[in-house]
Amino acid sequence: MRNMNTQLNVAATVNMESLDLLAKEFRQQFDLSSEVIHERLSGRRFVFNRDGTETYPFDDWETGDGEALQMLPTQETVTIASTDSSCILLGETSDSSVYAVRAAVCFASQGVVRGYFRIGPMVVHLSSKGSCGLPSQLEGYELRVALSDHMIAERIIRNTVEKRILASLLSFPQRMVVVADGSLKHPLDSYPDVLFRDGESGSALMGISKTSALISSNKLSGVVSRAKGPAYAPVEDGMVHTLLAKFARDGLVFRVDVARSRGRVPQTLGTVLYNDNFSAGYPESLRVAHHLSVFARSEDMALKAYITSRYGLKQLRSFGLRRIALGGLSNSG
Amino acid sequence: MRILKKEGPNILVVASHTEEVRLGDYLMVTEKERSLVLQVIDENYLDVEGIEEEVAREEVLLASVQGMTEDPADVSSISKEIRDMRLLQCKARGSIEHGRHSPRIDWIPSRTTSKITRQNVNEILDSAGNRGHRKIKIGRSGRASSFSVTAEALDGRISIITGRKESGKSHLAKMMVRGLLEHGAYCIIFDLNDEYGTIGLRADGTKTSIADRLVVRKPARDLKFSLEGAGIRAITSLLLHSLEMPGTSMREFTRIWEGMELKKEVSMDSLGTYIQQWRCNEFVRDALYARYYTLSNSGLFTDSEQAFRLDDFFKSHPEGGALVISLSRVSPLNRKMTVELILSKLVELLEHRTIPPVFLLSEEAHLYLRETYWEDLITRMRHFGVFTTFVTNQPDAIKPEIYRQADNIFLYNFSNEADLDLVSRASMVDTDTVRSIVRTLPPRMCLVLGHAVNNLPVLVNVDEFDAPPSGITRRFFEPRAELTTLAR
Ligand SMILES: Nc1ncnc2c1ncn2[C@@H]1O[C@H](COP(=O)(O)OP(=O)(O)OP(=O)(O)O)[C@@H](O)[C@H]1O
Ligand SMILES: [Mg+2]
Repeated sequence: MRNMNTQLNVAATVNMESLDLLAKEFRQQFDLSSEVIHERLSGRRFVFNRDGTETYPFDDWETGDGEALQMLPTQETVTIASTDSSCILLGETSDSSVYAVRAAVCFASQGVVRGYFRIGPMVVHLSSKGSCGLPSQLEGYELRVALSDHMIAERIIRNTVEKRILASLLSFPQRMVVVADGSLKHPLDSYPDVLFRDGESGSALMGISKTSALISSNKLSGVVSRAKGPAYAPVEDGMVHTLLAKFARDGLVFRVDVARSRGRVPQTLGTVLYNDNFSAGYPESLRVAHHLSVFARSEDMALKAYITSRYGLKQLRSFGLRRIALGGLSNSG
Repeated sequence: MRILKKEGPNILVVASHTEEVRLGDYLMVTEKERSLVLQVIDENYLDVEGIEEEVAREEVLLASVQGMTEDPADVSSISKEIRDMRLLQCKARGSIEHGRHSPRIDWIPSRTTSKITRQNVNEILDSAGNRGHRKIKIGRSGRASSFSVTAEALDGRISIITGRKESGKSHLAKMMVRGLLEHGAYCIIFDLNDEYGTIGLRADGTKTSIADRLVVRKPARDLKFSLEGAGIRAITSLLLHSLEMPGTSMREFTRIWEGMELKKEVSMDSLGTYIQQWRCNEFVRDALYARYYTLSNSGLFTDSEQAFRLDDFFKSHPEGGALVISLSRVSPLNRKMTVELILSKLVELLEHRTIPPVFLLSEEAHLYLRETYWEDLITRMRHFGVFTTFVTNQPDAIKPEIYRQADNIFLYNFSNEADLDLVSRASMVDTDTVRSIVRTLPPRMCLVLGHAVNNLPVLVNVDEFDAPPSGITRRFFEPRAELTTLAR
């Protein structure tokens, strides 16, 4: 089901054809995998998961030395495309697990959020036979760890989907700053180098992370934190530049990874500062993308109802009353 | 729909938004040959943890930003459905086994294998017993099914119609009177607002089949009694209760009456002469005179041949009929005297079996019915064949004893807490039902309780009534007709 009645607004900010292509790709993926998942899940006994929660640890900054550089807005209209995704475990059979994943891209320019694009939820099936429902198959080591730990699996699934979307956004002919939620260098996330190399469109890629241990442990955090306005401090150079930055005077310090900046990291930061909105210290487009991708309680239930009916699952007992009652949905829709 | 929980007679059912179930509807939870009969008495949203926040967040987010969503599994519409899920609070109203209704609710149907279906009210009522076949259609219950009370359900019964002002009480009463007349019954109506005189006509002014069975009389205008026609019983009762005549004077009055009767000259005229010439204590004579003048000034009495005789009304309407006694713009004393005369005469005629039983419709009875008559109406008079329907917008004007004796109650909306409290305690059904249904009743809908519905509460959407408009409250800011002064 595609909701397009409001896409005109989006069209003013980004290339619609490219978005359409991306949507189509995911839909085809969904239709294809749906068949395979059906084969693997049909009529299976199933234990539904009850959700866990995420936390964002924050500590007080240590004081340290070093120098913070002032971040200046680059007065140029460039679309910021921020991507986020969520993944939840829906449940498991004796030898496989089923997840749902959803991704959202939120577009901002000139300090205003202009629109969004959202894909999913999509159903992902993981078993020793392989993965199903992802833009690219999980294999070997990745598949094995994903099967062994739900938290890791969720992370890998998100990363796989985000990778596809980031690549797609970067291939748009339009010049943008594509922003990912989290570090580009996280050991669990595998971004191919090609994603980091300067491309034709001139789009830059940025990862903004608020959870990274690197922030609280780094002495430069305090320096950046105490700066009078938007500021940053380089931490590491390379194909991906890593820095600590804050985008607003009283904002939080983030770890920022920048790639494809054509050697102009300060300008890239300035472009983001100018085109996104940091009234809460955090990029508004990323905040909206997060809220758009995160699963609401009723969506979690709806997904469970959906897979129960789509794949004819047999619920194993031991649930709360409420959940059993909601099983009624699976018969009607 | 699924059962969620059962606590005694209270049962929670979850239903999706699309399921057409409304307040007052009957549901059947069927398991094998047995069904539990439920009635929906309240509905809420399903309380899913965090859902308020979810709705609020979405509202804020999607109102400010527009975009495009590719949702291949269409999960969003299922999740919307979940958010719109309803919790139906139901009361168990008995079981149906082999087509027969029984009040048993001491079993629990399976939560997973039982099937819940909506049930037609009439079928449920019929399975609970025979309600009679003389139907009086008053409206619809549930979606389409027509709903009737039966004349039999009112026969021999005490009924109460109550609800706040302008809720449609008189409207319903009129429908029932017309229905009773169509079935050949006799009715006497104490009409406070001149609204029952037109029930023989359709809205377009043409006559219905019962138009000729209707007689409208106004005390002191075209409703005058002769002493002889009224008889000693009615008159003494009037003197005693309406005019508070002392006992000694009463004894002299009885002697005077016997004297007049002996000479076959019972009339107002001779009563005056008799009192004047009667040999008795001056105080007694004064007392008698005072009453005599009140009677004669009331305009309710005449010595002419035109005097109204209740027995004549019955004789002249062999197919049944309604006597509408118009009490609007009649002084409180004349109201009381008229009601006293009519009721005491009625009982006398019924005692002698000169007339068949009568349905009595009494609007705002507390305005003219003396204290002791209430008890009398629901006990002794009912025994002789006076079947009363009380209509009032002041539920506290009717004593709890009367509610307890009532066989049928037609409840319209009450928003006032005190009234709601009173009717929910006084009614023959659990207070939860009355409270939650009556509080939210829209106009023209009423909750029928009691015998007429085999003790299964039914929510009725009352039909329009094909009659000329009447009984509309007079307004100040409206073209005014001539102002008439209060009749004596
Ligand atoms: N079911 C109905 N369909 C159409 N009109 C109705 C219905 N019920 C009531 N009405 C109209 O609503 C108005 C008020 O009804 P009615 O006079 O019966 O109220 P009431 O409860 O007797 O009020 P009051 O307490 O003032 O005597 C009338 O004009 C009546 O015609
Ligand atoms: Mg009325």
